[in-house]
Amino acid sequence: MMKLPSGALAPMFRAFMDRRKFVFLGCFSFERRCRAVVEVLGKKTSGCERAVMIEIASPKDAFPDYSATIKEKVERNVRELRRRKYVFAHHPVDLLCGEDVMLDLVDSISGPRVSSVVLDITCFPKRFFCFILKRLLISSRIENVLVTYSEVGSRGYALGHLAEDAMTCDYLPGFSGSFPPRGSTVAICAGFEALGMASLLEIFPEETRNMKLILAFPPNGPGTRRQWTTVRQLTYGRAREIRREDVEVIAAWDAEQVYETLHLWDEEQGGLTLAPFGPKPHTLGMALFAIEHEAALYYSQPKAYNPEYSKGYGTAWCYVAKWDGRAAYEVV
Amino acid sequence: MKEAKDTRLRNPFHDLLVTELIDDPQLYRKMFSQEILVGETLQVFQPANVALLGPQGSGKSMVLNLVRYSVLSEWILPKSSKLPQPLRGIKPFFGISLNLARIHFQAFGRRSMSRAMNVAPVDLSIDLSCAADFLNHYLFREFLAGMAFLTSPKGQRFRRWAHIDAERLSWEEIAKLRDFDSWFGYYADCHSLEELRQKCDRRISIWRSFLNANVDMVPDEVWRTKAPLGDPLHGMGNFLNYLARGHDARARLPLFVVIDQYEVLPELNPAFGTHLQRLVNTLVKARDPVVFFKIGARTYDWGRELRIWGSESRIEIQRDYVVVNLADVLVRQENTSLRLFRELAKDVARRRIRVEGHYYRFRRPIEDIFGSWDEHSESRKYFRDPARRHLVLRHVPGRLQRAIIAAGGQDPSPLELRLAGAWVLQQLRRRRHIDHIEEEIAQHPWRRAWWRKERVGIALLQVASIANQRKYYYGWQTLSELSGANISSFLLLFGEIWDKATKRGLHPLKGTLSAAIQTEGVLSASETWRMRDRLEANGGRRRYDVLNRLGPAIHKALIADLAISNPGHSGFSVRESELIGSQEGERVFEFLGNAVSWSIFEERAHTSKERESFTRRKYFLHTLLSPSFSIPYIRVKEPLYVGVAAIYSWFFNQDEIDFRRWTDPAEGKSGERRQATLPFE
Repeated sequence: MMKLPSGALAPMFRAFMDRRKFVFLGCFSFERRCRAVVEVLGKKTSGCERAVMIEIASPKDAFPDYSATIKEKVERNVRELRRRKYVFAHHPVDLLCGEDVMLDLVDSISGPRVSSVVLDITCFPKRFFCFILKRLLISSRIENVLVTYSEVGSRGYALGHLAEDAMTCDYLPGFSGSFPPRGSTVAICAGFEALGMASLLEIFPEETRNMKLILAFPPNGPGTRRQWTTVRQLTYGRAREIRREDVEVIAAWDAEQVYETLHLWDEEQGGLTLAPFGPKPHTLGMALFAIEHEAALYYSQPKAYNPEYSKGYGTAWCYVAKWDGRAAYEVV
Repeated sequence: MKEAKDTRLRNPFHDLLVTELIDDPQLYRKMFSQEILVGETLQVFQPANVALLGPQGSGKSMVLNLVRYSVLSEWILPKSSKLPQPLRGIKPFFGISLNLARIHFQAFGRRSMSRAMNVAPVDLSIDLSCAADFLNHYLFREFLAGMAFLTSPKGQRFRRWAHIDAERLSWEEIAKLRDFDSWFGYYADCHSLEELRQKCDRRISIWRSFLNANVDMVPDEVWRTKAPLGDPLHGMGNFLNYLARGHDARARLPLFVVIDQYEVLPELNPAFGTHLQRLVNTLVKARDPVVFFKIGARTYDWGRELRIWGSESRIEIQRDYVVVNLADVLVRQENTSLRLFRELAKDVARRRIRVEGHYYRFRRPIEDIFGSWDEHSESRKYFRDPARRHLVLRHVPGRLQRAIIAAGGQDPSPLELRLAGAWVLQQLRRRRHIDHIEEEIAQHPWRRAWWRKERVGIALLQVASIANQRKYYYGWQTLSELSGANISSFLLLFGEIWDKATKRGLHPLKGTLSAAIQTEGVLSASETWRMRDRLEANGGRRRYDVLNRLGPAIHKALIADLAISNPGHSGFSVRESELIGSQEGERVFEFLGNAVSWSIFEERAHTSKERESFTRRKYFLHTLLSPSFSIPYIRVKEPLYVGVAAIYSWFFNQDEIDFRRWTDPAEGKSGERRQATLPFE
């Protein structure tokens, strides 16, 4: 069990970080919402000692090639923050970089005087933020870690594919799981894209594959339809064979409930392998569970992202992943 | 109704994945078509290093799985301790396996060991020596599991088959494995097989813990005892020979090592993956007399990195390893039949129906489920009213229409009329006089065997189109052709047809399924095959894009040409020399290779129609994609000859593809077909 205090960004931040100094780590993107949290927290007046913004470069062979549009949109976001006098370090990084590069990144923000970090996962690819979160949580130097996330605006996501050109399913950096692996059940957070999720079942090593599904509580019909389309692709069209008791529907922002559900399933099944294909807060819940239980996180990394991914920005959330040197899963 | 629902849920072809079968030796025993596959791939079961190649879904994993001791032992007959035919010729071996992606071998190099251990900023050789150690110990772990199996009651059959002296399986003997020099004393404190296994697991866990960034240092105990690549394996091979020599001093029991997922290393680890492949190549290059490697790879994924570790030396075919290409074994070559594949498909289907579907008493021939097909019957389905059949001649001048009808006899099929019409239009384009054409019609020149054979597929598509109907696909012959000699596509076809039948309340195993139901299933399978690649890794998204421009282009070129002048233009041909030596050519070749590997294209060598000294290769869309684009699935001679510059522009510039008109930018030469085409919807 875990205590993961969470809520809307402004009151949560006031309650926990009032006058406390922190380092902000966020990620530039072509989406407008990449600026949403940094615009609230990135000023010195809020206690931000240093802000580091990463810019992720897609591989050159990504298809479709949206690089020109993406570059233009990212530059617009960078310009806008500069125009509004935000001060930040700007680091370009390759999407498929190795763990060494990510370790350098974590080292660069967690200097000897830094004890609090705000990690804005809004536009961070999962392979980055899960790894960074893990290192921050196991670090003895970092006392407090707050994770923030901004939802999309009221016009939601693009109707077409959000991400494409998926790579072969592989574990996320830092999350290949314990050895030998525990259990034979794979818990999947389904999102709007199947990517290469089906190949997950091919590499999953156990003799019997039990599947558990977590769906995001949908605000509307199209969202539900897209999730079930993903599930159908995953199951080769046999979604109706999934048993009701193996499906959990959880609000898209509720990372703690995801964690609790996994905890329950883990006790039932004697171990889980996780596949975070759903919304970022669900991935956060999965990552926290995986760090605690040394579970594997599998994902098919897309190489191309639709530059029209989302419109605007909505509610920003804040999750206290570590406080006073104790990770959320260590607080019962 | 309940029976229909049960039948639907019991679709024996639903699970296309073979992993489930592979992980369950008993199930695999019931499902594997050993008579056909083993007979054609015997080298895999002999003491030689083998690269088993084939496109996605061709059955490589199924064949390699039989090498594993736990699987092979299921075949050994309890009474005689022999293998059944046709495996009886196989000499004893002991096979272990390793799936490189599952064990996370790809992780090495992404977090530098040398940097973390402060040996050097980044020293590639140190990181590779760590990867080699991980590989050594993981193989040792598999070997120990094998020893545990042999010492257990379950291993009795295998022991007898391999003539293993049970006395030599005592701990005193097995302790020899602990004392290999190459372990540098790491296992010295182990006093049982279980302790050996636990200590091995601990070592693997330490490496993974470091790679997972749980810890920042590798303990001294591990760092100082890194085993040289291949040395422990040689020791394991020698130990197996020792086990087999209890009664016969010359007996041998070679160690076979199946390596799976070799080809994904560069994709999963772009910076370091080929270096990891070079480690595996080094094992092959060693030509160890007691250890032999069996590596499965998609057709074109093998051969991209053949160098060994620390040297520019390469592993050489025939000298260091042999290639068994399942595509050559099963995929139809020109002018040969699909006999072998059809036998395999029938055997696989029968096993699936009995084991997966639980129809244990099923005895009927598989062909009966789908029935027969003939071209005239098919064409009549499009025009059930004979009075409307003349519509297929509407592009032929009236006088010649009448001559065709007169020559056609009492009840000419729409196909017959369409072929006759095509022949007439061809003659008119050649500017032959209408009187001569009319005279010749009486001799039915469109019935000449080759002329007709090459055009039937297109003519049927055109007849269906004129009738404003979709084409029918039915009959055993059609289904086996559509499978493209790929067992996965066959299973998909059968599964979709099964689903369509049961949705209508029909039992697929009772009677012959109607053409309409089979067609529905085929179209659905074709669409699934088309969409499948979009989600596949390694450039699937680009292939999907090319596919969706190439398919309609071929359709447009073939179906709109009522004279059917170029029936072979369902594919294209390129000079082999153009595919090497230039950046453009090599990029095209890589794309083509991947498309073949992922069963999106089919590739065949062919002889040029032109007097040139170049060899050529021709490419077609996989046959199962044909229904989705309404193009013929029967391949005939003379594809579209095209230069590499044009193909490059199709694939990488996202230009519209026009199979009827293209210009080779390199040569400035127009490849436009000489005849005009008619407007045709």
